[in-house]
Amino acid sequence: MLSIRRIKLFNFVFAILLLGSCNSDENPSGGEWLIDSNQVLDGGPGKDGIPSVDNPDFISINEVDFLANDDLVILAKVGDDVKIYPHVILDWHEIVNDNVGGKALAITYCPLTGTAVAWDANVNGKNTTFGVSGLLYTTNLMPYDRESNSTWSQMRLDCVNGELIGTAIETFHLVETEWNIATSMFPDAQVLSTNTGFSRNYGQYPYGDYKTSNSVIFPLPNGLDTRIPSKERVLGIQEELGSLAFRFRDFNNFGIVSIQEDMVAGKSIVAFGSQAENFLVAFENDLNGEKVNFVAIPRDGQIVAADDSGNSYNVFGEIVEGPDSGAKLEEVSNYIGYWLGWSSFHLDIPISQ
Amino acid sequence: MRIFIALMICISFLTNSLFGQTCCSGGVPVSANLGLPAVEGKVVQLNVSVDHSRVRRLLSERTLLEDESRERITNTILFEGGYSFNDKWSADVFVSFVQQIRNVNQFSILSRSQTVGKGDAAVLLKYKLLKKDRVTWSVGTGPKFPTGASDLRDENGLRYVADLQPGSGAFDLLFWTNFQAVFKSRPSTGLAIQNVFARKGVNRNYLGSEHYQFGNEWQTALSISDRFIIKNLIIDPAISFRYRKAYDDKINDSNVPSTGGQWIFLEPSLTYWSNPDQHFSLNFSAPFFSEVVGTQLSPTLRINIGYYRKLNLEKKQLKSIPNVKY
Repeated sequence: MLSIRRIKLFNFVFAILLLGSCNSDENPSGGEWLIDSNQVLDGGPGKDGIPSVDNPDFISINEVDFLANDDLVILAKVGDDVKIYPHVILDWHEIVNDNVGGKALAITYCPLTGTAVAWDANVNGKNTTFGVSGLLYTTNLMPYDRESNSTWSQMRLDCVNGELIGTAIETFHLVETEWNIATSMFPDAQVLSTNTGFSRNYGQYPYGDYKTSNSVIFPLPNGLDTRIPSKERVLGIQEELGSLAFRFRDFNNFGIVSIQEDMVAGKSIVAFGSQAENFLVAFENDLNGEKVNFVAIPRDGQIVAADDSGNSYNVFGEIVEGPDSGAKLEEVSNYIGYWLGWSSFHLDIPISQ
Repeated sequence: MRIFIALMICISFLTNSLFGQTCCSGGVPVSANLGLPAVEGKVVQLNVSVDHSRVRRLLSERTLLEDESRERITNTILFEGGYSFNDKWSADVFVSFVQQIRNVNQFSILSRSQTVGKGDAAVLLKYKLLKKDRVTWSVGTGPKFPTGASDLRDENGLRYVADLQPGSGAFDLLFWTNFQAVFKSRPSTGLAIQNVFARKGVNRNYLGSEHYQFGNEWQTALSISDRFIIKNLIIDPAISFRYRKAYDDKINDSNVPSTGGQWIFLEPSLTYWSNPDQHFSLNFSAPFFSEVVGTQLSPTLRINIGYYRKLNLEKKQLKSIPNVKY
């Protein structure tokens, strides 16, 4: 028979385990949520389990040997400073805290919704950096800021929990395209290197067949919108009073950049894109308060469009040649992402025809 | 009996064709602890053990990455009770209490999440196919019941991911075989081969509406043990080699990225018999070959400390094969 002493020993061991488990979680996500917290899910790796890149190292285009021509990259431009962030690195880190043209930015990227958005890292007058909270909302990245530890939603573009709840984030225009197109547009750009400070196999896509399958790993609260295949990349326009999606297949003019115009919440929107060259960007059709008549042209380096006044525009909407050189089209919040993301965050989002 | 064996073979073929796969991180170590020693007659057996599993190495397929920032720890108290109805038939019941811990130590900040609770329970019905002087061959099968919670939330109401839950939320089917032999030239030396296949069921209430299935799992262990008497101490040292194959988890029939893999573990153990009916055991397990799907944390070390007690209800002297504990 078991002696009393041995029974006490087992009780002691068990009690130690139970007591040790009283503290449940240190993810500081208590309190009020702007969103349904039932839809906030633990993604698995835990807070900072996917580490952001906080000391990014950049190399010249000529030094890059880890990218194929058709690998997707993100372009950021502030002033004359142009930087390239490859998807193969963003897939593993999701956030790069950087400085572009003197501006503190967080390049946020969610592999599950395929969305890259540049966030202004100056929040309420304080510079901060962002990390990966390990949480997902509608299968989309939820960064946290290291200044207040508040939790944000990448595609909602606001803080949804914590001290800064309700604060909107300022965004900067990014362009997504393929490596060979990006380098032909901006041959002097600096490229985020694989010297991130972390040991990862950057040649390996971490999500299996996710990009090409129709499946989702985490549930979408409203299910899939079947008008478009769930992983088709679309350009979404996200304005306060409306949204709109452009499809790449509608930008397939042979040899020239296609131009498409539409309206979002009373704003005139113009989109430039090429399915063959895998880029698609949009702006408000407003140059110094005037609507512009655009002319479709073949892409020439960074120039993707022209107008009837003789101006030439780059992919960031800047006039780089012509009488209004130095001016810029009004920005609208837009970025590329999988249809499943855009259709989940913007129910019944119109599709530009 | 023939029906029992035929049923097992049929189910094994069926499940082999449906191989899905399993989680490679935490989880109750049911498969690694299944199967009490073979005994005869009306005997009650009890095994209580504390199992500590640490999953820390970050692998990209077979390549070890220099990153120890993430860690998964599973502490389990395992209670296994067995009763042999006669010389052929016996049954084991397995219950567990689990503590799952996820540590992330990144940017000089430790982020810790943990759950605790009753784990899943299992029943194994065993039949001794062969019993000769020095050889025993047993087979068994049974269900694993989803008695553990699979919908725990943190203190802020946020749901934990599936492999941090104490339970799987699904009924599994377990298949077990165990072959044991002692050498004629040295009767104190034992050889054992054990196979366990876990056909994982589907949790149809994952995150409220999703279907989650941990990957099926196959384990084969080869063990050699001996007995030494040092002064008045009876010690059974043993060494095991365990092959484990885990298949990908599935969510709504799609593979979950970076789950599944295969490992070979080296498992030394020591058993101290304080009398013929009870022993204390200490087992270590560490992989010397690992290959994972994609990039994932991989098992690093497992330690199991156990107490075993046997009660003979027929009050006759029983002959026990040298213990080979997995």
